[in-house]
Amino acid sequence: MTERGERRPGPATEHRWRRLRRLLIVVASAIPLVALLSEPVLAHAAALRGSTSSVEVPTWLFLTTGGGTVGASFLLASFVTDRAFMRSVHDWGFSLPAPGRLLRLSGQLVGLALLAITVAVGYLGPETGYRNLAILVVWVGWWGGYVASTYLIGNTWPTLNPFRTIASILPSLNRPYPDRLGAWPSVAGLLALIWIEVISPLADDPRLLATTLLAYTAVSVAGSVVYGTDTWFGRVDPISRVFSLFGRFAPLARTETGLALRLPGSALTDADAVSGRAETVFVVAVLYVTTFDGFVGTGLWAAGITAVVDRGVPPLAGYLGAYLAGFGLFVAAFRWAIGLARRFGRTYITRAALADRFAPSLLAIAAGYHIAHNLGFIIGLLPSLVVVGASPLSPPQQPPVVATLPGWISGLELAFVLVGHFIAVWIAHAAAYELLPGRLEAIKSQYGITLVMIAYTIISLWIVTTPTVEPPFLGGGGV
Amino acid sequence: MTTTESTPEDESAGESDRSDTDGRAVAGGQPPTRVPEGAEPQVCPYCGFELPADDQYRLHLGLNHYEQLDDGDQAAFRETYQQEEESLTRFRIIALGGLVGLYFGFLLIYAVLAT
Repeated sequence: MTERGERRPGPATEHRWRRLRRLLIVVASAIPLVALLSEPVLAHAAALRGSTSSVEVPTWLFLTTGGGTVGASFLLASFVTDRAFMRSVHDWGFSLPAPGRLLRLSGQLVGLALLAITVAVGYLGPETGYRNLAILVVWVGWWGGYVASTYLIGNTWPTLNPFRTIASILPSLNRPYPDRLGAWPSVAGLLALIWIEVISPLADDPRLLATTLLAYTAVSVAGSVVYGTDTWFGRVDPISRVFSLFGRFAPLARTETGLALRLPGSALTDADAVSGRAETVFVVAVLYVTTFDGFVGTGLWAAGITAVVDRGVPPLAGYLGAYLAGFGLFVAAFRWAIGLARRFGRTYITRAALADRFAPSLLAIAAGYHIAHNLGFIIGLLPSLVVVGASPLSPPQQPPVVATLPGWISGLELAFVLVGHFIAVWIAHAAAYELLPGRLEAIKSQYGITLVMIAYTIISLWIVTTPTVEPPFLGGGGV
Repeated sequence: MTTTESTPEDESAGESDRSDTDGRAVAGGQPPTRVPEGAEPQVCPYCGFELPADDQYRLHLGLNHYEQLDDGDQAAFRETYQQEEESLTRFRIIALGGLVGLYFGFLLIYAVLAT
């Protein structure tokens, strides 16, 4: 009964082949780029991996292996075409009783107390960054450890958020929030926050950090007073938005009836995980800012920005230009992938609707990359945090650090980058099957996003394994 | 260019004889569509979702509205599904080839380059 005639090569098939060929050319042209990228760091990366195993391979091969692994996971996922099975995986879960009001209140108090101590010690404690509790709490405890807890355990920020607790005490004018702004203010806010973090000595100067925290409190309170606490922290505040997105990856979630336990990442295929262009761009921004933060610490960037500044460009303009251009590149790559999904998926579903469903997969990558980027740093500085925390105003001259990390830590970091990508490939796969009626089309719709993920694996593995150098022209900023 | 927000009026899950086709309308209805100029979309009579090509349309009907279809449409869906199985098998063979190629490709490169 099968009408094979329909499948005979015709103009349509030829057209498809032409498109596939173009795709192949893109892939092929990416390979020399990888080789180029890896050339200057060959010796270092090899040395780094030399400590974990006795096999030494050139960097380009190491990076393409990472990319190849992601490609292989796409091919493996393509064998799973059973919708019922996919849904059963994503629906797996339990309900747990909700935490009581007392726990909630104590969470709020802990958040407030930590903010107060951090600001106070920031001003009153020693001026040296690594001896000041404020620096250690914010960068090791909060940005390193706590952020990891939002995607590894669950998003507790709505309760802990001290800015929110302060704002909720004050009355609100409850002005209507302009809907056309959507999530765009939080995109701008996130880009601005990371920009300040990269170019200023926020990670070294406790006084500046304390002032920034106060300024952030002032902005949050002002915003909440105008628009209401829920609107501000639900729609505008970039940090709350990042944590709420990471919380979607986490195995625990707060529901109306209690706590829900689910598989990590399984909630990212929900239809309402991300909605609207601004929110998809925000997800891309989350991925981008962690990448840029790591990228400015590479030798390639140091060489590049030095060359640009030598031509008479002001250093900050060079940083800003590269920062925004890179972001534009990330957004363009994602849009390109969505365009391919629409073409190969043979669907009339709008780009925006496709982007809504594919974007959450990037969060898994962002989580994997965040942990890879911060794990060694947290373990290294954890003793400092404990010792300085015991006597914040008179800490020892040299707080203890774990100077030499065991070799397997760097292996673990790479593993996290790859695991994040595997989960992302799976989420894109499941989302495609929810959207498209054809099983083959659902697989083909992932071509673009898979290529983007492969490219991103290569870039992020390179950043993680390249030895960090001080970003030039910033006067010693950055952790 | 037309943009239609499809109505989520049909949420009922269609049951079918195959384990992997117990189609369920996506929560909140089908996603919005945009049909390129000149294209003639197939419009689903049950939820207004626009689809290109006949086979996509048949699959959508079977996956999302199986119980509302008459016998002819149900048979057409099963046939399209079966046909899709064949092209899927072809794709799987290529994917398997790709996996084997990747594996042995890297194995060979490592054998030559890793010292």
